[in-house]
Amino acid sequence: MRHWPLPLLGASLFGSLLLSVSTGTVRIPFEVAVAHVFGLSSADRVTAAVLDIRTLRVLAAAITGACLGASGALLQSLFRNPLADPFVLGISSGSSLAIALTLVFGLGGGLISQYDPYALYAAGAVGALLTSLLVISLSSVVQSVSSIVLVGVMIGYLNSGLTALVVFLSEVERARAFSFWTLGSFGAAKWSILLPLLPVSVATLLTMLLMAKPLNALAFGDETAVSMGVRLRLTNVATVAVAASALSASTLIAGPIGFIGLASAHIVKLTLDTSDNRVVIPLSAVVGATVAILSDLAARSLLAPLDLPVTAVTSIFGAPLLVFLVLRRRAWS
Amino acid sequence: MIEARALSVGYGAKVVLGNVELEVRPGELTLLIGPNASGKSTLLKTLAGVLKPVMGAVYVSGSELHGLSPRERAKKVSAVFTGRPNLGAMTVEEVVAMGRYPWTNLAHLLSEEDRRAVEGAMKDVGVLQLRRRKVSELSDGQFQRVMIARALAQSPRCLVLDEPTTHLDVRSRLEVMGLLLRLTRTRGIAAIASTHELELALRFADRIVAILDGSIVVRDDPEDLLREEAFLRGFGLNGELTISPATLSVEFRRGSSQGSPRVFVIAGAGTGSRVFRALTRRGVRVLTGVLHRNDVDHHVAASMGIEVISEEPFHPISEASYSAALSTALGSDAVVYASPPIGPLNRRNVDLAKELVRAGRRVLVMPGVSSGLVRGAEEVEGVGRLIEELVGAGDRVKWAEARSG
Repeated sequence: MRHWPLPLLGASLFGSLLLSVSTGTVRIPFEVAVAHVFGLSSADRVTAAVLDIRTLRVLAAAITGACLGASGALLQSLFRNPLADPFVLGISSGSSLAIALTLVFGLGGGLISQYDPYALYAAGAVGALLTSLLVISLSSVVQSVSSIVLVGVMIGYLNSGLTALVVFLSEVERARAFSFWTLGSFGAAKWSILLPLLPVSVATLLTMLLMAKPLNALAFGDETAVSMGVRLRLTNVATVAVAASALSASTLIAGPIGFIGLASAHIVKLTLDTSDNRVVIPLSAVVGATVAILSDLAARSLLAPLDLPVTAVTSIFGAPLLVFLVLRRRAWS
Repeated sequence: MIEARALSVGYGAKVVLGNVELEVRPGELTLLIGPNASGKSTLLKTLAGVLKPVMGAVYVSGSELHGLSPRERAKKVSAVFTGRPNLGAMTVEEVVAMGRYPWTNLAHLLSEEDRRAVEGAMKDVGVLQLRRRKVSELSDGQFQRVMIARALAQSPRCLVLDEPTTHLDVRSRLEVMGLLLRLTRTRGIAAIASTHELELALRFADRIVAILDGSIVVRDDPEDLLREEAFLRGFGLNGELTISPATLSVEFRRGSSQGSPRVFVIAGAGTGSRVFRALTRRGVRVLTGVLHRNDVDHHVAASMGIEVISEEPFHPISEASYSAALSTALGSDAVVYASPPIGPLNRRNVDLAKELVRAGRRVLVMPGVSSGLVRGAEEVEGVGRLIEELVGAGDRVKWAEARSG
């Protein structure tokens, strides 16, 4: 394991937090922003309001990114598959289906307005949770990890098929709105959603740390892991459950966001040259948060005042970074 | 000690192997052999506590294995299964330290005792100098050692290994078996390993367990098996393959009672084995004599199904054997004199060669300690040349013509 990137990863999270809070269409000097965030000085009311909105957004991005990054690390380790991410379990497609249903058929009756982003994300979270429960209950029946992956992928296809059908049958306007909301955004975040989710997310992330030890053993294969004392079924179900909980929280905040779940763990593994989940899981949360904050910053700054879809930004900037790291690995090893 | 009592192993309710009564004793290496798909792996997984028995029970040091919690069980029995998992960037030391799994806390932080166990395991297995290397860079032999070190770091009373020598080169196979044998002695642990390499198993096992026709046979002396018809049948050693109880080597018997040309080989003390194999491989029908029954060439010839004119051990070659050999040799297309060491008991083999030269037979003399004793014969400088002389291009036609004409 390489140790020097450790402080670098921490510093980049911290730096991106401050940078994101101090950057925006309303110009606020960096030191004013920093002082306000730390409660050292009170800015005027307008500045404070602007900073409050930005802090909310940054915090939303940080929580979402941390949840996505850590669950990606968890799922990749559980499935011993570097391509495992929320999509593999059909969870993301579950939330997309729920969003489509809400948007097009107005599920929830008159209680929620169709274009209220919170309602849509709430629906998305419910979709993710229901899909996860389905995967968990099926995976507690089948023993092997590859069967769980297969079940997850099939549920994903089922969800995607239904979503395609729903979108095809809807009006053009709504189909357009659907594709916007399934790309995710931190712009819809509210303190009223974020504050209750904060302790839930933190608890989920801490629970994930408990999974590090059994997941490290699972790398040896199911049978060897069991011979070392791993409770296999408990580990499988608990890992899927805790990942699903984190994914639901992130969907609730920002909608389905791609790439971060897949990339964060790889960035950690490649920069630190380790597979130890005790390191990879927490640092994937750190990297996920950093990537989410920077992506959000880019999404709202690149073509300001346009707010670009986050998934577009994460993919456009993240994919080349990941490819670069993979190519560099040859030079390192 | 692992004890299996009235054990039936399998998957779900399906029994793969039933009525297993077995003890794996501390300080001993027990090897498990059996044809493919006979249930070796299933039995080992059950003994390791990874698979639930269909019926019966496994006891380790008196307590029922499958009644223990996974961690308590893992402290008693550890296992090395087949396959080479992708362990990413893990180093040898990290992998071995994973063996402490049942002993460490939730964060898997190693105590002083854990560190000593890891260090001791790496040292005993001989991978201490590899500790900082990534396991992905190791050879298969080194990797297998690291997996054994990991299992040892678990500080078990018993070690269960499924095919630990598969995919290894000859040297690593012997090293791994030697290592297992040593570990049982120095650590006093009970070890059971499966292998499909019969010769290795017969040589290394303290006790052998064979799966024959769906039931197990346990023998305290592995070589007892060689006298059992069921074993020879089960392992296909009564047909084209044979095993020599003296050398424990498996020989391939490829229709050696037929073929052409017919070549009579005068050999002894191991000079003949190479010639027998080289010639039978090329379809030559080999006959040999006179060989004493205790001669290594006699063992090889017999296990290959070659027709041998024999003599009783430590007796000079009798007149009867001599004339039998002479008439057989005269009926052959050619004679090979493998130049064995000659002493008072087999002196007549030189006379035999000389008489065959006088009789106008084609006698090819191989280089060796007694090659100078047979005059007037063709000398060939090695097995390669010999084969060329006997079965070179067009020779088959020539021999066939000679016989018909």
